[in-house]
Amino acid sequence: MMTIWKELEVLARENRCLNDLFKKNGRCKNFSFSCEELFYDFSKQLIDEKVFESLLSLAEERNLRGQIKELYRGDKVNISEDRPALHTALRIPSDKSLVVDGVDITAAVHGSLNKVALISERIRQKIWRGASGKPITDVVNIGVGGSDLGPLMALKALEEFTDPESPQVHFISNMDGTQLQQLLGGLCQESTLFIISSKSFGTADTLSNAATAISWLKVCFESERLIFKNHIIGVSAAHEKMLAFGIPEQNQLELWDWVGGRFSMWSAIGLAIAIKLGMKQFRELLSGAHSMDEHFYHADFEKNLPVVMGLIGVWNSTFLDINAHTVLPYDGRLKFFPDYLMQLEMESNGKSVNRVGKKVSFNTAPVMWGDVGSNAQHAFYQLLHQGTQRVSCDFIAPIKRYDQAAQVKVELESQHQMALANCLAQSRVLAFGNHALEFAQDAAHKNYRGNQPSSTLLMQRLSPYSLGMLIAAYEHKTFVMSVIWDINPFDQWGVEGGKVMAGEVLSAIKGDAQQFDCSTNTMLNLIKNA
Amino acid sequence: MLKIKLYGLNTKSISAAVFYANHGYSVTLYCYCEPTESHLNKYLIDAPLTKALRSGMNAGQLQFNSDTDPQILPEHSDKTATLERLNEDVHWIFTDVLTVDQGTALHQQLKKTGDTPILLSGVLPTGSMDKITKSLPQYRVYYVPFIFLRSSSAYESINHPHLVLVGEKLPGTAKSEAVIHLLLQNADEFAFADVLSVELARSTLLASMATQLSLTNELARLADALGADFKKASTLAKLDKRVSSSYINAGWGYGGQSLPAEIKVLREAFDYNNISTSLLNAVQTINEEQKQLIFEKMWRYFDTDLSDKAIMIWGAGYKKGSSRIPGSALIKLAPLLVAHGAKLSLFDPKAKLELTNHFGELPFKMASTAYEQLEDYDALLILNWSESYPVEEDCIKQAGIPVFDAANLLDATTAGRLTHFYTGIGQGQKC
Repeated sequence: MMTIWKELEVLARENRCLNDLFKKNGRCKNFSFSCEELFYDFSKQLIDEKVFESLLSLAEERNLRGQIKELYRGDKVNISEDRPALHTALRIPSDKSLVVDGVDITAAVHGSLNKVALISERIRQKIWRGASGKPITDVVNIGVGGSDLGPLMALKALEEFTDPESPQVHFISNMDGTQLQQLLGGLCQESTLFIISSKSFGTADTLSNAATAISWLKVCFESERLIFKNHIIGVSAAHEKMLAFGIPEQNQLELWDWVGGRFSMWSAIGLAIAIKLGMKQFRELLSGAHSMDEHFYHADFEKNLPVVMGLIGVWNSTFLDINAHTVLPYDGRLKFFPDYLMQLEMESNGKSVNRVGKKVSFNTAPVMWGDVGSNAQHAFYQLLHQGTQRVSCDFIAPIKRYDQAAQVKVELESQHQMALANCLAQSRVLAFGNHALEFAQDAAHKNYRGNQPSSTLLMQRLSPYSLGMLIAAYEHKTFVMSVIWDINPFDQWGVEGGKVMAGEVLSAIKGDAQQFDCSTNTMLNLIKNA
Repeated sequence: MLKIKLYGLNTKSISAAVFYANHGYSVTLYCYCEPTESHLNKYLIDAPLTKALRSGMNAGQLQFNSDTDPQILPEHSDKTATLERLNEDVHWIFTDVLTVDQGTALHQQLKKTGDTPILLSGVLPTGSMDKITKSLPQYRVYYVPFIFLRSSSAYESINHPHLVLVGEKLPGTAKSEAVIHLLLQNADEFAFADVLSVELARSTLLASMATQLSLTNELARLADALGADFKKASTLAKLDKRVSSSYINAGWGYGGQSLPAEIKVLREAFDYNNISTSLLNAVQTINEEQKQLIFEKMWRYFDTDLSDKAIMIWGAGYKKGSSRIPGSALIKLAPLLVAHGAKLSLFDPKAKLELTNHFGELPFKMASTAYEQLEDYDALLILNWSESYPVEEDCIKQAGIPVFDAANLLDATTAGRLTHFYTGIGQGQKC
């Protein structure tokens, strides 16, 4: 008897055409559903009922339900690092119990959140003071990867929920110092606070930026002790390293080794979010994510948003050999959402060995990128419509916007309608090509081939709650794909080699005689002799 | 007997009510709240007013009406009788203390009162009084901004005003109004003009005072940084009469109701008319920062750790000699100090009621004397002082605790005689 995997490989060889698939009545009804404020339409994917059924069967065969349970209860699903991946615990309500290996995880999480609340409210209420007694007007989040992208993305998305009196929040991630150099000139030491976020507290990028920031503070303040007491907060799982760095206990916020960096924005890594939005909104974000956790845990697979998103992802990448995926929010507030997902999906599932170390024989995570849809239309849609690559797309848009706008409300609403029209229009042309267009395509260079698969996620409104749901949906989608592929999505060994090599090259730049390949040696000589 | 009805309860309306009652008017003050003894005491912080109030009430000339309904003008079934009754009164509305609903209801009622004189007071966005007077059908509508309160006693000020400005809807009508005439008889200066000009004059006067104070305080910060005594500099500057000498003293900024309210409504007027006002924004920002300047000095003195520091605070009022707390530095400083773990005591015997109304549970203990066990405190914070309590330099000296003087109660010479740490505002003591 043919395995489900084999069955899907056979089904994938059948050429499906969206124009034909849509001739069947009820397609959208069959391939769309709602989950609270989110509506997911995957009818423009290259699937039919048989494919969908097989994908669902594959999920059952891979014991997805069991693996979700293992994830949630704190089993050591991150096998290469022998630890759980408990990002779902970061948004668990305080009245739900979760004990792992005898440790009360709920209590630890809420203890940390309470400290986030205390610190953020003291900063927002201008109780927290700099060394000279001035209130904090600017908060600089120094972190990279998960310690940067999550809070940055969420704050840009939810800017309208901020209170104008709250401090300005800035993000610094690049190791080359460009961002700091550009930012510091406009800040005042007396009223600036730095959050140094690094799970390991060993990330070179972050520590080099932190060192520059501290030197900048020393221009104004003589006492290093007062600088650390009043201007530095550390967020890390490495308590001792923070202490050694000079950050006093009361300014430390705890992370745990069971939180992956790219899954950590719900923890104290989200301090910048809490400072800018307030703890109430931050808790709304957590609440939305928890709601998605519940949905993922309980909902039947055929109406389970992360499960269906993940299965569609696997179908496109592994079975249809579509190795490029783009995320296209039609809402400028979600500008950094694709960046966030790039790390989430590619760092999690950009793997080529399975959980027991055997090389996989199929495509895993596709190359992923994205941008705000309307900007992307003027950048890379040409390739989507007429290029040679097959690319799957996720369109995202809020249905309602600007209902609170005070000025030029009508004009802004009209602009939002334009954005929605473009969102729906692009998915139509991508799916149906020339058939979607009323005018005849009279030349080859005007041909729209169509059949590019896409899904569309509509949300009622973009809010802390709905954003929490959206992010958690993608987190779980990533997990679903990893389960189907039998890979570990919670490690990232692929980023370690470069770090080690960078240390050796830096020594060489600073004078140590080391030999590398002729290419590297040539450029090193150019740098050293400049 | 002439009747006058005043609407809205504040120091100014009580002062006016008592003033007219003592001049033989039958006065009703519509408080829109229950004017209990304790409530009235809030406004009776100066002795002359209290005395005159008792006298006016005892003589039956002054009555308080506690009706909380915005429809305060009584509707009688006999409409003609109501109008007649309304027409014989003078109405004086203190707009600052009315809610929007109350103001709207009153406005609708006054439209029906025939050509009865109506006086308006208070601080609304510049241009608003002009619109209100024009919206009323009567010609005898006047705007009398209460900007002539120059001493700490509102009642003394209304008896001998420094300046009375009267805005007239119809030029030349104010002089013949008995109620206005009475106000002018002891005034040093008075003038009549159209309502809009009087509003602008009010804004000009109050905003100039606020601006001068903020400029002074900003310069005082520089004096501190330079180690100079700003008081000496301001004494020299006052020799030039082109600069007003009244608002050139450094301190923790301005409070009270008039100046903050004026800056607020003036900014609104600028916003409404799409004119940017970076100066007024700066005036307000400096003033807000100034209220916390003394905290910053204390914070630095105690090496950024105020936990468990016992701090004695003198004075809750917004200006010297007053125990009224609106806009007082204490309102922000007390919660800030408590949030940092400081243990506070406050000496200001007259302010307790108002403080309780504002804070509910007080974030400090009320001290019964200023000097008792002063040596047990870690610091003395001076925000305000009253002439009623003489400063006892020896007691301060004996206590031997650091003094943070946001009111510049002690001059540089006195401060120099202290053997322990002292800092004021703009006195050049670096901290």
